[in-house]
Amino acid sequence: VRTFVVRHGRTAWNAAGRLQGGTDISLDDVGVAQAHGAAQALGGIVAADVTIVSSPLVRAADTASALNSLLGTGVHLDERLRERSYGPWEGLSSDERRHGWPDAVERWKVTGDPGVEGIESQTEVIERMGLAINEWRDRASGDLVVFTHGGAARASVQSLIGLPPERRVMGLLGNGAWVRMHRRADRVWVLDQFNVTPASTPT
Amino acid sequence: MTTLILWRHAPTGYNLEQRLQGSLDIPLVPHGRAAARAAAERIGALYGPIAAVVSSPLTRAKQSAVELGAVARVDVVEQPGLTQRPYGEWEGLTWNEIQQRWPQEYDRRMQGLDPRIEGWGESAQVAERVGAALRSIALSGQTVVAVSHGSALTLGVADLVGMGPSAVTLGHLPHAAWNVLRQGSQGDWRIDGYALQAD
Repeated sequence: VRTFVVRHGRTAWNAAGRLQGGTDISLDDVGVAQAHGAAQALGGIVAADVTIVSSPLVRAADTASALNSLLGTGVHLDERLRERSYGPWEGLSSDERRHGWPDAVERWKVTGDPGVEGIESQTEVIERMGLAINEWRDRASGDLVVFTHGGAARASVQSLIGLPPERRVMGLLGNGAWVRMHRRADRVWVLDQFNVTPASTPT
Repeated sequence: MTTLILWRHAPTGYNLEQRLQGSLDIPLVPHGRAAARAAAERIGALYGPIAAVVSSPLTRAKQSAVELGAVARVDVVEQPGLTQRPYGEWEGLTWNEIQQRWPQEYDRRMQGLDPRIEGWGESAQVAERVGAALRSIALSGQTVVAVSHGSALTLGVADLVGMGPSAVTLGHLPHAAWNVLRQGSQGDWRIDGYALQAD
């Protein structure tokens, strides 16, 4: 059985390069099309026995709904799948972040942790995401599809495949793109695919 | 952005029979050419312009590489460091045959360890050799495609991102599939795509 970790479709803030974190922004028109593209592709891949779970943030939940509208199995919302909270950086563009926090931005790009008050630590994100993904994997009898966010997906996938958090190794998933993994009987996670986007999906 | 596309060759007859090739030089099956061409077109469309196509000297890699060379309009360059891991006395055999004749060594292999057989390419050495070849062909700010083999590329990725050569968490790379690695500001390598395919 397979586990898919899917990043939500595009929002207006993604398009403008504004960091969202816990801020609840909805999909824009491109994002809706990406959600449908991902749903079409994943709908053709997953088995009939599928469990769909999602971050409750509307951009992820609406991306999950697009798949659920094809499969009709329902979507379980799980708070632990939310995006990392970026505190004072939420709503700011890349230029604004670099202007206000030049050293912290560089630390964040390299290590994943900017060390800024109010920004959720990577360790916390990894822990809650890992717990949620493993728990849903235990509960699901068939394929599992997890709808979540760029930062949360990157940090948790890297951790699940045994890489330490101090250095960013996994890149950022595209909007509407996904990871495919499987968990072996000894509970070791294996990366099967990273950043899959169906050829027909708009970017 | 400095980008390496790590592309596995299209299937050969030995691949279809699930025989280990290693250093054996087996050509693509007829439909392998078409699979290579489809992947080459997708790679060109997604990541072009491509500055260089660098191939393992083995025929199955070079036959795949020329399809991409045609798409990218560059000549294929050979790089011995991208050749496949040698499988020693297991070359030409199927996994079933190996399991029957070397049950203990087969189990070691399934756990990600090196089997103790004649002529086997040790994971640590192959990882270092392929990692060094990949670093040597990367071009600053440009996209280079390395055409190589399943085992060699998995070990090469492990070396680039600092994973141990016995890591079992990087999955199987299918034929004609590719990985995308990009270099960050500190010279570190990042996995932006893994086991991506044309269809």
